[in-house]
Amino acid sequence: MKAGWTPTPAHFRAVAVVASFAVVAVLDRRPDLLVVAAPCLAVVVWTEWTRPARSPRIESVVDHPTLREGDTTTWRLVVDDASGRTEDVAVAFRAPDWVALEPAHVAELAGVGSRLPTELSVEVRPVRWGPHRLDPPLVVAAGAWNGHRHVWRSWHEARELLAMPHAPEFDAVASAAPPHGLVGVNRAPRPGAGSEFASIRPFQPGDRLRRIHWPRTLRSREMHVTSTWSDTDRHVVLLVDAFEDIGEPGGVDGAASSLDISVRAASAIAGHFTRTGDRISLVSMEAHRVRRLQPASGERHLRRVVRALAEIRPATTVDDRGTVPRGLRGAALVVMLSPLLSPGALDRVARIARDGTPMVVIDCLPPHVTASIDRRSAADLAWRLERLERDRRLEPLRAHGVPVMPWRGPGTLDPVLAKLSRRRPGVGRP
Amino acid sequence: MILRAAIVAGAVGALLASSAAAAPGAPSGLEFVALAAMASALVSTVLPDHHVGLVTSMLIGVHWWLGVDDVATPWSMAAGAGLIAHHTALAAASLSPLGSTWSAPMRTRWLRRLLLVTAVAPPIWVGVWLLERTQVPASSPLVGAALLVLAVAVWWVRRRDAGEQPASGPNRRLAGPAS
Repeated sequence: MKAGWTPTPAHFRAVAVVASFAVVAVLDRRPDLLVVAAPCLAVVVWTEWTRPARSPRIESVVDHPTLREGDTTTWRLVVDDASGRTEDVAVAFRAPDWVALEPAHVAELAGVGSRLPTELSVEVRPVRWGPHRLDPPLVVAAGAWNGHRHVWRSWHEARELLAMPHAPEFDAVASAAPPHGLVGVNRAPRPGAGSEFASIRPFQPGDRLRRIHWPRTLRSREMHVTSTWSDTDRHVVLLVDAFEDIGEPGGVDGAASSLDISVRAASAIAGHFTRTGDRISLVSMEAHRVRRLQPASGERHLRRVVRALAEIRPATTVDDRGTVPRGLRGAALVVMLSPLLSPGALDRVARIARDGTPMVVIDCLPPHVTASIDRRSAADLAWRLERLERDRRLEPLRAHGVPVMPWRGPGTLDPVLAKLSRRRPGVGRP
Repeated sequence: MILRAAIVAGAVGALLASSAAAAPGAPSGLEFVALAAMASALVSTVLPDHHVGLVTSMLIGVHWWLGVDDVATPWSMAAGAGLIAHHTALAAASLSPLGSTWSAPMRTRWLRRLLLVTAVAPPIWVGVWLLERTQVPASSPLVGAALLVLAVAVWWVRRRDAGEQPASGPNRRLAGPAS
């Protein structure tokens, strides 16, 4: 975009009217034409007298480049002109897909006059998770009478907006699968050196003296100690199947596609297990890559997980061969989120379950996916056949104890987690 | 939308003033000039940042030049007001796309300035009226000098506009590559 001040067609028109009317007035002895052109002459003199000399300073700032989908931030544009000759500023913001601007009209107009620097702003609201590129606004600064114009659009000023998935309310009261290891904040199913009281039992060689329970010892005349459950942590793997995105996404306020459900559910589950002190790792199978986040715990890691979820790209053209990604071994629980439509996804579930890894499959196929299909069309018939085939392939998995359940928010995992916590590790392999 | 209406209203006002000042024996074909001016005014509402507005202004000038005989007619001030209203509305409309919101201070500033430059016409009309009464004889050197002054003035304006300064230091970084 050309930098600097350039004369506008309005200025050219005023000059041309004055010059041509004046020439005819002189040659044809028609001074009345000078009266007709006199206001235009005043405009030309005014425009030239106050002609801006220096380019204004323009900066574009997004207050919060990373936010949750559905949240709002402000996109500001600051215009400053040291010479004070910029009089009007028009700005056109362009909204990318899945980003809403408020006010919705494309141009914002400000009379700058002597009040500089001036600031124009729009409210930006990403309505779907994922990265969004905000193209730089088109800024037109004008001098007096719109006689000179400075057009500005710098592609260096394009801004990236990352919308994190909205995590719906999620909680699970049941304890999860038996954890491995002997550190962490969860109660293990075995006694050990932890913090949670288990029982009072007779003293055994090796017990620490500070564990002696003196009241019971004095009453029974026999040495007793307090025993505790050992503290452990769990390694929960979130396996997001991004090979398919079924359904029309409608943003945070509308209908959800299968990937929307997967990403938002994964975000909610990650938040829940982070709060309970577990280690979370993420494996997302997406376009041309399998992305892995190593297991870790804490809020910082949760932010990393949610950011990675926000950056997932679906791979609708990639053939899913049902391979099991690395990084699941040693997991206390694998939570797989998938629409389970492709045979590859179902094969993957069977293979993970066959390894004996405790797993839960969350069915992310949206219920409204057939809404846009004509009931009497061949597409509807094909879709029903596909669903029947899917149910037929899911049945043996369920029969072998692989829990498959639709995402329902809070309590979705409770029945399964309760069942898994009662199961001893390694038992129940299909 | 108001600006678009003002573009047409200004042109109509200038043409009405020109018609009111026209002599009874005005040459035929003036109606066609007026119609052409109206048509180009309508087109310029769609293309305010274009040179169609110049065509409208020139056609108004032609209408006046062909139709009016009385040099000292006060209708020239009305025609000038219509012409500047048309020009100002076009300049304002080309500032931003249709549907933009104009703040109240902006509206006030533009209207105040429009009234100010319109007020330039009456003193000049008085000068023309006095000149007409004194019947100054024709003078070739005076005409030549006037044309020379005009040529120099236009050249000076063109030179200023062509001699555009580059963006200042810190802004050059922000302005990015020229396209």
